[in-house]
Amino acid sequence: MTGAHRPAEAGRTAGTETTGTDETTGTETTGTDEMTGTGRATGAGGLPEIDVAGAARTRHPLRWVASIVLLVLAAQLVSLLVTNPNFQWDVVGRYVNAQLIGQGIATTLLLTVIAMAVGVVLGVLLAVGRLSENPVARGACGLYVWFFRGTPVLVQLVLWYNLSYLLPEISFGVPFGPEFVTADTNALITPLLAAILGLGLNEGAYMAEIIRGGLMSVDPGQSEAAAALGMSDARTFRRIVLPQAMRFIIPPTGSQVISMLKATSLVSVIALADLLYTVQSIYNRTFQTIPLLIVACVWYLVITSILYVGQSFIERHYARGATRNAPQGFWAFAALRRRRSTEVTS
Amino acid sequence: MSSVPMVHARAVRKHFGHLEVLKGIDLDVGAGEVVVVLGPSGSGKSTFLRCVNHLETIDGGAIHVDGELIGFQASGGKVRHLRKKEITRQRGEIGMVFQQFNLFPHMTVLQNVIEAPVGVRGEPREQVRERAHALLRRVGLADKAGSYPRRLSGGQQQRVAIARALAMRPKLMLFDEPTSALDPELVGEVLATMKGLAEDGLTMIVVTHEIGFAREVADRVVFMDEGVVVESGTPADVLDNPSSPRTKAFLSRVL
Repeated sequence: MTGAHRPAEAGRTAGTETTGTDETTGTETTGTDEMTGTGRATGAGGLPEIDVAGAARTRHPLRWVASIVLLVLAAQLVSLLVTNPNFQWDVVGRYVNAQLIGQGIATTLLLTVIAMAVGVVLGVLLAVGRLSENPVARGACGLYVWFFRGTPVLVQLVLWYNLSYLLPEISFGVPFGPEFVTADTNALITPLLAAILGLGLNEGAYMAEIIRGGLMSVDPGQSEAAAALGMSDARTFRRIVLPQAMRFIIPPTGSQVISMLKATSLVSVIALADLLYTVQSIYNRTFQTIPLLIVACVWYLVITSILYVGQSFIERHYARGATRNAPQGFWAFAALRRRRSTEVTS
Repeated sequence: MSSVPMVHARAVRKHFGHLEVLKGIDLDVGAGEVVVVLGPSGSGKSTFLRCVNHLETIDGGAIHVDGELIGFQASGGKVRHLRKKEITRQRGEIGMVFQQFNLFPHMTVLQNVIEAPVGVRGEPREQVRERAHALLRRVGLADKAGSYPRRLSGGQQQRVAIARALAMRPKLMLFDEPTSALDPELVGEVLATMKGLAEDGLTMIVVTHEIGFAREVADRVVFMDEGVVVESGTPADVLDNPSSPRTKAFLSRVL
């Protein structure tokens, strides 16, 4: 405790000192300005005339302390990564480009895209259903969300995979009447289909809530104006309400996509060869557990990073017209900062 | 005034729960006539306006616009609700301007104006675009076609909203307190635009608190209170020589 406190205190003292020096110089400069300008004239009510334009910046000594602490920690981490032979970086390097891993990534991406697409489509339908005037639709959609959000996705996956225990055959036909097509459940529900059903139907429940929240955040005056112009409900939803709701839907959907990417690793329990299942099957043979898990993590991080960049582009698209000033991305912000600092130095 | 009035409202009733907002409104508006509806807040004047284009469903009576029953269908002595498709068609023929403008913020000014004629009526985009530019010139915003609504002042936004409603070539325009959300110095530009429309012979029902506008532009002033029409007549009659004590009390408060 004391040890941790001491540097902070030292930092603060140093900080105060710096501020002190700075303030002195600041006052001196202002003083000279005043001398050359209006002199030490006093304004109305005997108050001194002050121009805050040259004010000294506030110092943040704690930020420096935090930076130093973090730098030390980061240096320790890097040294651990480099010096500890158990990481087996040569093994990581060997497997990171392996073809088998590539196939696993392809399966993971395919599953993420399809399950997310199922989730979004279902989510839109469920959200519209929950907001509709029809009490039957409201109730049914509410029930769906309640069930699929309320049970673990892992359980849902295993359930779909083992559907044949419950229903050995699946038939299509008139309810309680004649059947036209009958199929063996085990042949119908492949691991891939079980994974899509398990992840997609679960995602639909979460997306429904996200989309519903977005739709409710749009001013009701918008639908009213659209109605007064003679737009149909469907057109109003598509052209007016949904595009405005997108601003509120995209950020949480971005984190859902990232969650989904990682949730696909659950399908290793139903023997679908995704990224995690692939590395597991390798290290079960070679016992190089840690380096292969690092390979998987590296690829998950690479994909989430790409998704993150994509999300910021989509967000900027839907932010049009939302603010008085043009939306400013990170790079524009960084460029502006650089320009401003060059201006100051020159 | 032509033989069939543009708006023909008889015994219009509307309630929200137990609250009776309209207690039998009778009102005729002739083609080309400008009617200003005055009244204290809660008098039902905005609700009545919203009934005319069926944004609210009336509970009794009937409203005809240009000879057509609004929101319902009467045949063989039976009355039933119109289908959604018919209701949207009827609304498309009646323009409405809202207190809060309600422009579509994710579309530019031009897109706001052309959205309904192109999307609802299926008119050719180029033709509508030309008409939209002409309308924007008319409301004095020719240079703002590419701007997003949030970059405009309230007065400019409301003038765009007027252009947007006019782009559907409505038979009738409804104005629901169009200047109530505006800063005082911006009210004039919107009222001037509306005055121009009135002079061009557009049929208008205007709910407002702008007594000056009523005096100058209205053919007829209607005073509503507690869900009934209390008084109706020329601006001179109603504003300078009110017969009802309720009208007198209201005018003494707003003038």
